[in-house]
Amino acid sequence: MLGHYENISGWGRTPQYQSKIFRPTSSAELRSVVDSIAANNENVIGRGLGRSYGDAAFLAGENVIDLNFLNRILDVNYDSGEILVESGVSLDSLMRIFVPKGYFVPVTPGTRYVTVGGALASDVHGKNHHIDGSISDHISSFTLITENGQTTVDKELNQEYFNATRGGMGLTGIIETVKLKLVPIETSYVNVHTTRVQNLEALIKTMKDTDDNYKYSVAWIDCLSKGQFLGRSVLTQANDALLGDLDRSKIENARHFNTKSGLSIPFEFPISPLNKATIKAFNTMWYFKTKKGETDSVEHFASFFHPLDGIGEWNRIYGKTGFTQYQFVVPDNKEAELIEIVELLAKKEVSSFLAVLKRFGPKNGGYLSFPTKGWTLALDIAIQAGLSEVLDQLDDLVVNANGRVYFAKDARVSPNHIHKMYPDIDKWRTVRNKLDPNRIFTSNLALRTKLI
Amino acid sequence: MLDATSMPQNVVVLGGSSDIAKEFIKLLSSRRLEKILLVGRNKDKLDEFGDELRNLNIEPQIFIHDTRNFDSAQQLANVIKNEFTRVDLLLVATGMLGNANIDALGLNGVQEMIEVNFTGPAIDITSVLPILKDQRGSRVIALSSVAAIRPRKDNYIYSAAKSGFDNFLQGIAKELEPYSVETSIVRFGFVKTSMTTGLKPAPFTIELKDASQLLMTVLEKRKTGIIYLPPILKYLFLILKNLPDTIWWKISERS
Repeated sequence: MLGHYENISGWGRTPQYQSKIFRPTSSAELRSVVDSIAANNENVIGRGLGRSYGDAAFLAGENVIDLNFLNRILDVNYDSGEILVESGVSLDSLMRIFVPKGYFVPVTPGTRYVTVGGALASDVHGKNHHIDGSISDHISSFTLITENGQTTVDKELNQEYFNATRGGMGLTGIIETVKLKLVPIETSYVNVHTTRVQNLEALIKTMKDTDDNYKYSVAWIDCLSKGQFLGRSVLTQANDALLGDLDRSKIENARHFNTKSGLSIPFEFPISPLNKATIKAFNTMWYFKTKKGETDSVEHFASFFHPLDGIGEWNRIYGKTGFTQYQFVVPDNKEAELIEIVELLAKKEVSSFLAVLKRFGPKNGGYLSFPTKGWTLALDIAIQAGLSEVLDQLDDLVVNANGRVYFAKDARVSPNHIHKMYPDIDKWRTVRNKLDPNRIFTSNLALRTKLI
Repeated sequence: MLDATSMPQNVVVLGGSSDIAKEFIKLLSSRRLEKILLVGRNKDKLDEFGDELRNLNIEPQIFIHDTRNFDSAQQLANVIKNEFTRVDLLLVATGMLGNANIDALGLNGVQEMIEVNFTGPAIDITSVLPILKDQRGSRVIALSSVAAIRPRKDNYIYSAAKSGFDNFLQGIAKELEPYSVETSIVRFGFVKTSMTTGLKPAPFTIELKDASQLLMTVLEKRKTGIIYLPPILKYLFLILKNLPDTIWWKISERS
């Protein structure tokens, strides 16, 4: 199979490189591609739908295996909800197929355009992390293709390999198939409870007091407001809607998931319309369009979980220079540091569309899995002069608060910081080296941060 | 590797003792800079800067190479290959300013002026070109000058050389584009450096630290193609470029 060079980047569109891309359509093809790369002493990384923001899913000047054509559903157990799929199947197709049949994915990130393999490699989380954990907590086994062929990794029987691969950013081998347990649902709707909160301190208190009553919880924060309105926000908390919760118009088609893709951004914007003034205006509008106090509503899965998926290729709005997402987590008792970080963002006027705040539940066994118990904040930031310096300052605050940044979003953290952020790195390296002794799996992320 | 804000880890500098280059590298050292190769002809100056970088926890490599030396230009690519697995940023700051009195310069002086500002660095870049293409993604920042746009009586040899080099760079930028290498051709105005000491400052003169800060913005915002620094010069030279010869020579002699 021949690969060819293509321009490639993460969702943030920076940095941009070229990689030689292979698109296997069967496991046999996948194995032969990996074999020939290993035989030539070259390096490679797997790639799904390219939704990681930074440089996790490509390798400059070398090989990338695009797994989107390994997308078959191999087995379904309708009693237990367990499915066996190839890694390139997307959460979007799983939802379109299984939601009408009464099953939903156990965890979905803010976009459903991710592959199951990519979700496992980043160990993605959703709005229900504080209740249900991350995606790998619902995966019982998977197969991995390395230079030694196929390895089956079972959560109980091969704990080390399992823990090195979940959150392992694809660096333990190519994930080939995944056994994932879906969850039963009555409807494709959620009962949403929305609260407008005046500032960050009040938000923290409200979330602490009420999060446990809801399966899903997330807050949108305006990081540009200052003073007594620092971190003013809209908190949305929700539980799955039951049939009885729906009105007659919805009940007839209670589990539909035929959401149409809406408009798509047709080209890269020559000049980004996103600047301090427009973002400030947008954030203010967002806050005030929410009714004061608390409101209840019923919303469809698609609009609740994936609000941005309605606009195709929205990352092009940021123009040629692109953007980065900064996502970090700090432990539960570090609320003061969290407030300090939001204060710094407001002071530096690093404009960001609504930032997303959420509480994580306990961490799982993944050596490099991002979620740990505490507060996680995610911001989309346009690349601008002086940004690298501001983000380095944020890194320092995060490290001092015993926090970490998320590899799936990162394209700039300093190699000096990652040991403190991820204390299990050495353990991960040892296990990784067993799976990939000749180190053929690597990525820009791994080289840049000296992860391997 | 370059990061999301285009901060490089591995850098090669041609003309490693240039004041602007040195100031810019110090800024890079406070971000992600890890390894640097300084290329230049003045060993003492390069060693001195190397020591300064060591104090900033950067390990510099030094390659003594006079840009007029064709033989060592051929070695340049091998030196880079031996030191680096990748080059994230190639900074081209080779150049010299000098007395433009053609009688005083003589044959050797004119030859040196043209070689150091044009043919030398052009050969050096050509030598490094295959490495850049092979990597499939990196940055080139090359220092040109507004002097490349129109000659003045007191700098026309420099201006002629820079003009040739500027055109060469524009072609190189196109050559590298399909390989995902982004090139910035920076036409600086008057910057207060040791090279310009004693010269009468031109309008919109900037300090060294402003020059390096402006280069940082070029890098971070991925500004490519021809860039004027300070940016206002773009509009000034839009006018100056189109002035009739007689008026241009009058103005340029007076300033």
